[in-house]
Amino acid sequence: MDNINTIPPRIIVDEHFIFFLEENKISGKYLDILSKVHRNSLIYPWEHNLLLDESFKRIKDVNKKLKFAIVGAFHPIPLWDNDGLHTSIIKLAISLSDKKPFEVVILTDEKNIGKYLNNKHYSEYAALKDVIKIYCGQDALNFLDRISISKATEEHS
Amino acid sequence: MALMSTYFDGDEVIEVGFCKYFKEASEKSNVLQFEEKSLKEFILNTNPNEVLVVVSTINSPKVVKSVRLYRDVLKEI
Repeated sequence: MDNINTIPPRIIVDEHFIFFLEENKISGKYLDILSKVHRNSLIYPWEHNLLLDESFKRIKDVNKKLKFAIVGAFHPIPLWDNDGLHTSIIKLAISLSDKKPFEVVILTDEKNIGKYLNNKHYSEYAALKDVIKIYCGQDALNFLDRISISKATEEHS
Repeated sequence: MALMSTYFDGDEVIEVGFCKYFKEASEKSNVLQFEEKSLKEFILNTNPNEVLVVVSTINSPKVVKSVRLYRDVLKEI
């Protein structure tokens, strides 16, 4: 993440990460950071952070208050096929990895990180690990905390 | 480049963006209507660089039914 001060990695989250924030009562703080990255992105304003449409629906079903905050922090993407959540997100990350800023971060929870790391589309090609990082728990929060003190969240509307 | 974040939720459209774009729409659009006059006044009187959450119905025409500051939405969750 050498260029985190200018262009942070594209960020993809699943509903499990949002529920992790909710359970720890820190969704306000971290969705604020994510929304600033999202709208102030130099290359992809309002489209920088991504969330699958299916994940949005599941979050909304559990907590209706979250839907307005989620819309401000993520661009919804339709599920591509019937591969399921983890494969769809890995494929989405791969599709973004050859475009600026050439780095993608997937945020999830501790129960699901293994399903991404062991996904055959990710695990069988070593070079992907350099450009697609997958974080959960405190590592995910540390990543967002680093972004929050960088230029990536500076307002320049 | 996208001007705001948009999500279609059933009959509603949720839009999150800088107030200046909603202000421009409020002043120039012949399509946009407001459920209450106070909603339009809220947009016109808010700092252009504030981030707003605007919920509208998208039957014909487009009718704004709620406007809130994004920072207030974050405080509630």
